Amino acid sequence: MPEPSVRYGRGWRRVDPVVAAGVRLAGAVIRASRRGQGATLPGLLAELCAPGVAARRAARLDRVVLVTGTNGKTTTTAMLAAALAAGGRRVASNAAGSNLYRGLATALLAAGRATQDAVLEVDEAVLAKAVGELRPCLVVLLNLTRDQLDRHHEVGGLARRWRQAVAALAPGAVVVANGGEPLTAWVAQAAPSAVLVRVEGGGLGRDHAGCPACGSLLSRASSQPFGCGHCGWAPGPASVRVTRAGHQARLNGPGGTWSVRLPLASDGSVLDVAAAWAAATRLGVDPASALGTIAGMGTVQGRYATCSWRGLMVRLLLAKNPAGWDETLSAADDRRRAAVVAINAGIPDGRDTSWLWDVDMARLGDRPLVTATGERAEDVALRLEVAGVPCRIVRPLAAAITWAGRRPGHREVDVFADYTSFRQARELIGRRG
Amino acid sequence: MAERVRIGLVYPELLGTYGDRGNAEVLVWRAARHGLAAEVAEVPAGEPVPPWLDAYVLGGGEDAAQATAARLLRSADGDGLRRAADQGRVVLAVCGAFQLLGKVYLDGQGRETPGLGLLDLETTAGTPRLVGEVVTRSRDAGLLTGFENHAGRSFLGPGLKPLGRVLRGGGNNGNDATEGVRQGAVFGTYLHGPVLARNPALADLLLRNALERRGQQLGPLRPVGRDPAADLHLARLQAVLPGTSRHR
Repeated sequence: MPEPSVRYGRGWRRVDPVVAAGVRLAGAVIRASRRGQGATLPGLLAELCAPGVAARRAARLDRVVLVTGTNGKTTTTAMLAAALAAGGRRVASNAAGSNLYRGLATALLAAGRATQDAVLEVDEAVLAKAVGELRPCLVVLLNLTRDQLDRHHEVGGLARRWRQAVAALAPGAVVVANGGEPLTAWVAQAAPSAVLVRVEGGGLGRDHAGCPACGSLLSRASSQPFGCGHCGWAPGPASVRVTRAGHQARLNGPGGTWSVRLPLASDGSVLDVAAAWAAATRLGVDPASALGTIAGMGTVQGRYATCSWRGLMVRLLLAKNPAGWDETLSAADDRRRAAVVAINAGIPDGRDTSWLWDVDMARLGDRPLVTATGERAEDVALRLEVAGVPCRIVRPLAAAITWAGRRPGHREVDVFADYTSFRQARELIGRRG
Repeated sequence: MAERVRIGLVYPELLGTYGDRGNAEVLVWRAARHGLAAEVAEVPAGEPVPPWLDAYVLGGGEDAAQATAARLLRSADGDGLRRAADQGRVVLAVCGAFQLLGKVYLDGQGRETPGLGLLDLETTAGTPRLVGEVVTRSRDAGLLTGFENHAGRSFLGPGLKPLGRVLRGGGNNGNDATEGVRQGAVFGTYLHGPVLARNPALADLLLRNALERRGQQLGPLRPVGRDPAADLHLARLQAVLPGTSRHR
């Protein structure tokens, strides 16, 4: 099978290296002044000063790879970038998770001259623009479920925009998609060529009752393989099939079968690993060494990280939509630990908290103590109360963690946080008490 | 002991995009606080809607799911819902379901989806989408708070009364300050949150209606002191309405 390739064309303008140098400088200044990671603003300014500069920088690379989906983008991007780097490539990436176009631009322009490949995570709503501008040779589509509906409005609408985006890929480009999910499998059918990864045994999930092609109810008699009894739509065949038992997973690919120990015992974790692996092998990395690199990575960006803080062991869990919560509750199921649920519902989180009612919060019922915190602690408290979980509202976050961990013998605390709360928690715990 | 209050959650896989299943859970919880036993009866898409439940809760869906739900509810399967409404049983229809209780929904491409015709209202897709916090004043349940997210503009027929008057936000159409509808025991609204979680007085009103049809009265709330739903109601009003006092 030939490796995916795309012909690049647009030339580098004389001012562009100056803009790129400015991006590197601005990033360094922002980091030095401790005002942030400098992963967003420099790219925004660069695109304002020299429109199209990120696309022209991308055109000078060998390959651009994009990773998108509701959950698992940051992890999969880190895994794929590491696999390529271990294979001897010089790789640029937006590892901090700044995934709007300005974040992509920052990562591209800050990349050194010797950089060969870029592996970029992309916000679901930015995929179409990123495909048009950056001409990726490979796109990973992880999953598509409800998230930030005040911004995205409809999951089905996003899927239709994705489908247009992948239909516009260059002829040599490849899509690696989750074949166990109707919407992503449907999107992949519009791509010039597709590799479907299917995790066996998963159900259809919340946002996948309807046929992506005609809207009729998908047959659920057996979820594998699912299909539409009305219009006859069915997903393409999976070329990578994955089975999981606890932390152990088996990947059946075109070249053989591999076993791997997962960083987390969950279906989301196995999908991230399998998708990164399928993409890396498709990009020419040896399958065995790619899997070795990916499996050895653990978790990224402080997720699931446990830190000692004021005499407590605090574990930080990013849980920002119903599918992410399902995943986190499975991967972090531990009844000895107290729990803090921190929800701000700021603009990056989605301002509508209705989705909390799609989460099976009763699963927190056996935790020793539970506190609700954040701007929307009252929403959380009622959700927990109705789910039969006793809880108390405690603000601010530091007090909520301390209160949850006050019971002797239960000094371990899980913090379930939406995106902005997670950032606050990382800052707080990172600062030490 | 009195008969259980049975709450139907209709087609949750099609009409449940915005956490609206929470409305059914809140009714059960609220009923328990009034000393009543209650339970949720899920009605999956493709199965007939039973006509004998005390209350029916329907939520929002995406366009394709909503069209499928409308088709199912107009078929013999949906007969139970129409009969229940005719008998004065409680129906709460949120967002997409509110639209499909009406006569017709016209989408952005001019395609017509016929509704159930339980209510004399029509909906047309429009721009911009109405997204954000809403506060309305209702006659029957005081101030209502919720989060709206809809492209449809709904217009009530001449005989219909809105559920509330818009103080903040878009409401039915962003134009005439109406929000939702109430016709007897049939309630429609664009408010998510879910709406009954954020508005305990509305949840109580629905329960009172359901019990009255059975010749029963709604008992007092217990425990009296602590009501996290009332706390949430107040917190949202304070956050959204400028100048609301932080003190109780």
